[in-house]
Amino acid sequence: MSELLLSVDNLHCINCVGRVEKILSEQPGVTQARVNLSKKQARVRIEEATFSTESCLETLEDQGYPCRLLTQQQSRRDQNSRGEERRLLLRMGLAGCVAANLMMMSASIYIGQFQGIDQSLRRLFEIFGFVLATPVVFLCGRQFLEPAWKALKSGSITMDVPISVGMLATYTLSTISFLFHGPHQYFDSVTAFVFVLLVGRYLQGAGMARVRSSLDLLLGLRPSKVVVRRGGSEVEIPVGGLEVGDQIVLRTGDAIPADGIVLEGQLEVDESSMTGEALPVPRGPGGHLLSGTSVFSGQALMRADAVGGETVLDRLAALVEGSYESRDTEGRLSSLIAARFSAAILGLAALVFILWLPKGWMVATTIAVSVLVITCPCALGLALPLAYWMAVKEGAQRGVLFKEQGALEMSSRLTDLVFDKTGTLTVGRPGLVEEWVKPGESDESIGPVVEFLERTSPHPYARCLVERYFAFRGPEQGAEDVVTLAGRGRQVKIGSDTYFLGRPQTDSQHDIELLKNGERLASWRFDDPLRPEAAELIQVLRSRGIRLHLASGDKRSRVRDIAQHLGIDSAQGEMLPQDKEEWVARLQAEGGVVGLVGDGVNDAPALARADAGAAMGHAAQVATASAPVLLLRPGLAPVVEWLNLASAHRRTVGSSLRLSLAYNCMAVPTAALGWISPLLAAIVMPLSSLVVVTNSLKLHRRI
Amino acid sequence: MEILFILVPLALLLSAAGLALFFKAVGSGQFEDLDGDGARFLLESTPQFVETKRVDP
Repeated sequence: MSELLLSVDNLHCINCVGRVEKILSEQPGVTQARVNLSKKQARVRIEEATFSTESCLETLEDQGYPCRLLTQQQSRRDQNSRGEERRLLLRMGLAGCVAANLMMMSASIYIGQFQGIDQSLRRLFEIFGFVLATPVVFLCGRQFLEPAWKALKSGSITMDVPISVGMLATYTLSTISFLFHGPHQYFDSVTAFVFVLLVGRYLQGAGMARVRSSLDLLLGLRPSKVVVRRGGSEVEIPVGGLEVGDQIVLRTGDAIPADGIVLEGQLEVDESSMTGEALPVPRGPGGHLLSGTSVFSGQALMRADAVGGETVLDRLAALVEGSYESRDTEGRLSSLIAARFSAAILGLAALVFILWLPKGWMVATTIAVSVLVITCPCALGLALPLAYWMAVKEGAQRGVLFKEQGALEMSSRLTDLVFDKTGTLTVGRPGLVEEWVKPGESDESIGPVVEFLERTSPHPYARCLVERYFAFRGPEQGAEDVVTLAGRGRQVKIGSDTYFLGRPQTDSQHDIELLKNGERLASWRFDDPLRPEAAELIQVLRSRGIRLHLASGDKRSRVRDIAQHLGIDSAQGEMLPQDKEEWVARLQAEGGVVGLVGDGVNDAPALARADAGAAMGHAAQVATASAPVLLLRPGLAPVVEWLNLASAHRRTVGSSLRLSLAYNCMAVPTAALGWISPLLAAIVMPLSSLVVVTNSLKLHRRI
Repeated sequence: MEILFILVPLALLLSAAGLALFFKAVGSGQFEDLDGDGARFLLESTPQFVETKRVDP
């Protein structure tokens, strides 16, 4: 007896839930199946002896519900977060219940101060206050006490520290006042305070769980069986049996099971799951396909280059998984600010206490506690992590993945942006840029010969030429003596004529020529063309006041030309990977915050060195990149998305901090002067929290 | 006003009962699927109505 956790796609409504549960419960070996619509998960209890995971996944997929078995690690994480969520709910419920009751009692006591109140009744309310608030502080308050204690032990200060100090101080003060029949107790304030903070934590946790489960699903869809061509015939095999080099037959609607390239046929591929790109992308022979995407229309034969755990999808999944495990949700900036803010609050409260001490320790403590309670820690403890997760979620939908929060924060402060040329500003593979055809010759006369000679060659130039002349079919008969001259080209005899296609013998501007009996018929020049959107991107970035640099391993003259053409400030060619890294380091030494956009393979050292490195280009390379930011969508548009997102995040964080600063500037002096009781402070504080949290949730409107 | 000495604890007991129910609901996982569980009754098989016989008076 064991339990499996499946992530299920296409779950939209309660009917889907019913169908999936029915399908699952009809599987042999399944004793219980329950679908969670919010999380898009199915929890299946199985008898291991009779249950087959393969056939179960297959049946579900056939019925239109592609799904994925979550790894042990993910199940454990899910289990943990479920337990945590339950505990949080219970604590919240207890605190809420007590807070509501105590508030009514303290309202009676307050009114009683004006109207008069029966002293024994008042005492009864006070006893209830003490009895009910104690478990709230020590059971529900553990949510803050434990992490605060941990932080203090490790010598740091987090937001939990002032929360805990405020909570304990209010509680202790009230208890002393209660035991010695003092005039005021603030048991109601302290419970309301705990309750509001717990509600905040719960909402934040729920939001994060949603983001995480959508990422789980995004990073894990694949078919259970594939059709491969082996030895001339087509056979259906389970996806686990796929090997590198297999030729996979793809048809409309199929999910692509492995990374690879198209061998023949034309496809429109839906890559939205990987890149967020909504429109299907055309892929012809030589085009790259990614596991996890699906065929929108068309038919093709593909070669598998990476299968199983080696695919981009799996590496991305492992990477996202890793970032969940390794880091907490608070980033560098917010925890830094939180630490300083917390220390400042504690210091201020201590100062207020000392200044009021001549008036008696009771008054001094009350006012110091008011200061502690009224300062709004929620902006930091709640609004900032929420803003980060909103940015991550919005990014994932736009093909921008953030691996580290630090990078997101740095991205918005860039002063310098270094581009790698190949594959970033340019397409990354050669295209035909110039063509010369001897007068009198036409496509019809040379097309078939070119197609015949280049049909089977894997060289990039050859692929371009085949694409150029794809409408022609070379002669099937009459071609003799096909010779491949290594490093030079190919030769064939058709009828009485000898054709040669390959590198020019003489000095030429062009890269490939076609000779007929030694006479030049046509020649072509290839180059890595600039991306069409490059010029626009550069304009946008320049208008933001970012200094741009171009670093490339290409020829100096070519790099200079491109830089001039695009209007990039500085450019260097013939750079080795370590040169790029040095350049980044030099810019940093000059005081710049340096971002780098590279293709992730040969830029690895520079990407790691930069303050915010973004790997872009082909997702296959992106997945392994050492960069903290991954741009999954092809083209340069994601660069703008990335920077927009970073600045939206920064503005959100900034406005949250400003709001809470403005609030604190008004509230803290008032509290320090002793005009606000801890109860009033506890009522005002949640209002400000609400404002900053709403502010974080509006992040997507700022992009 | 002495009645309050009975009514207030009674009110507290009532809210404690409510809290206990909430704890039970959380414990049985009722807050884990806020989207799905609300509509789950639609999936239950339709109840079998007992056919009533019409008797002529």
